[in-house]
Amino acid sequence: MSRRRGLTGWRGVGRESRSDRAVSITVNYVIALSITAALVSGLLVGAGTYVENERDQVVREELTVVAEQLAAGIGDADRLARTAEDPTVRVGVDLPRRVAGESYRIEIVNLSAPEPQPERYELRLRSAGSGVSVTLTLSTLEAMNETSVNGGWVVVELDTGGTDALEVSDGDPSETLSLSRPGGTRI
Amino acid sequence: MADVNPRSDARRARRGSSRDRGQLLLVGALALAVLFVALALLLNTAIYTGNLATRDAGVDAAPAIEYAADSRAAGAEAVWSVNYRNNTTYPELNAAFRGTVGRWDGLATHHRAVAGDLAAAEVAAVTNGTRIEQDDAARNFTSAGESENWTVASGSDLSGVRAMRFAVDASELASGPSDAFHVNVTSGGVTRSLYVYANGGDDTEVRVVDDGTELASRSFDPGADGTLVVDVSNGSVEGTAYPELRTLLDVGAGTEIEYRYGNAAEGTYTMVLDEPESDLSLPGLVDDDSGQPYWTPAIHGATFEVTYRTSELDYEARIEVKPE
Repeated sequence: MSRRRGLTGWRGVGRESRSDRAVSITVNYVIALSITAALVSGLLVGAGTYVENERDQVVREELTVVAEQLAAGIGDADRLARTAEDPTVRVGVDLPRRVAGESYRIEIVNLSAPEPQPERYELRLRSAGSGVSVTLTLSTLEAMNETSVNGGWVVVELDTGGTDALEVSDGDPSETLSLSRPGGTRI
Repeated sequence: MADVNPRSDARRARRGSSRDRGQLLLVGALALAVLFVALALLLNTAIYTGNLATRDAGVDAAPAIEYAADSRAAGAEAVWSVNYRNNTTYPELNAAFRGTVGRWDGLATHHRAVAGDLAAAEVAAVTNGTRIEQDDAARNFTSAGESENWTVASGSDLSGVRAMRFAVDASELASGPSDAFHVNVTSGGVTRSLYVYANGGDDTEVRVVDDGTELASRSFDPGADGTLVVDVSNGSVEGTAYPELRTLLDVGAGTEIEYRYGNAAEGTYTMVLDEPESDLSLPGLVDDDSGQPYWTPAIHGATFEVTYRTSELDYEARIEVKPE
């Protein structure tokens, strides 16, 4: 009897709690889903930010290297320009067209030093997508024209037309430098 | 784990949409995978940047500059060699000079072609000049007509003197500055002088005077052979640097060169002027090799058109070639 009562009692308890069971399952689902969603999205956001930071870092490093290479090309042209009276100087610098998948623009700004000192210029490289900017200061003995060009094959030439200054311009990578020069047949 | 993770077949059978379970993790895992791929690509770019940074920066301008310097040196050597071997006429000197430079250019072009570069040096212009010389070491520095104070050369266009060298016998020099042999170079109303005399002892005094002001005065030991070599163009005496000597040759148009007290020195001398004999006044010289001071045609200098091209460099310059 007691056993039966016991059974009845157990059943009674079971019956009472069974009405809560659906609720507990739903709550369980909701909690599990939201925790998982929070974890996954946290992971994604964290990883995304990390990748974004790394990307900026990589772009900055590559722009620095590109700026150094352009500065070396300008230095070469500057040295050649001073070897004789008004020589023809054209130096091609083969820079990468894109850094980390982004195009970039090179800007040359005069820092206008007083006359007897060597000219000082800033090379400002800015990537189009992430907007990372790198600045490099360089000195030249010949003056340089302020200009801005796209990254890629860049030509540094001495403009002997009157200003007698170094000019950086976009080049055509499909042609070699020597052949692309207008009237450059006399050798 | 509810929808996130499918469990038992029994539960899957009870719930019809059990196949959709695990979407959240799947999508999250896919997104993370994409991020990892992006990270891998970025790392690749970083490695490429490292590679780029270790490459040769810019083009190498050194070969072009070296070529220009080499062609200048070769041209100077050619001028010297042609003047040394030939003193006949300007057309002959010019032909010999152009031939010499042409042969050098051919060799240099072959040499540079090995590196894939195009190099060329070509004579643009030659300056015909006049060499003035005295060969007889036992003769004093008087003119061909035995005048002791005489004008060696003058001309309205005479604006360049090079290779001025004296080799004087130290034992025959005047013993003081008052009546010592000196060279006056006058240009633009300014007279610069070079005095050479014995200073009492065994040494020889070499003094440079700029328009009445003494620039420098130094004494030199003529050595065992008793001959003092004064190289005005090189700025040296007996191989010792004496840079003040060079101020003597800092001249413009209308230069006049005179000797004073030519009887107070003995030896040889030479100089090359930048004008042909027809444009100069050379009253104290002869045009033959009779032991007297004489003149001959000579090449004073030249201008080269130098071209150097590589796939990344285009350099063309006009350089002046002039031996010391």
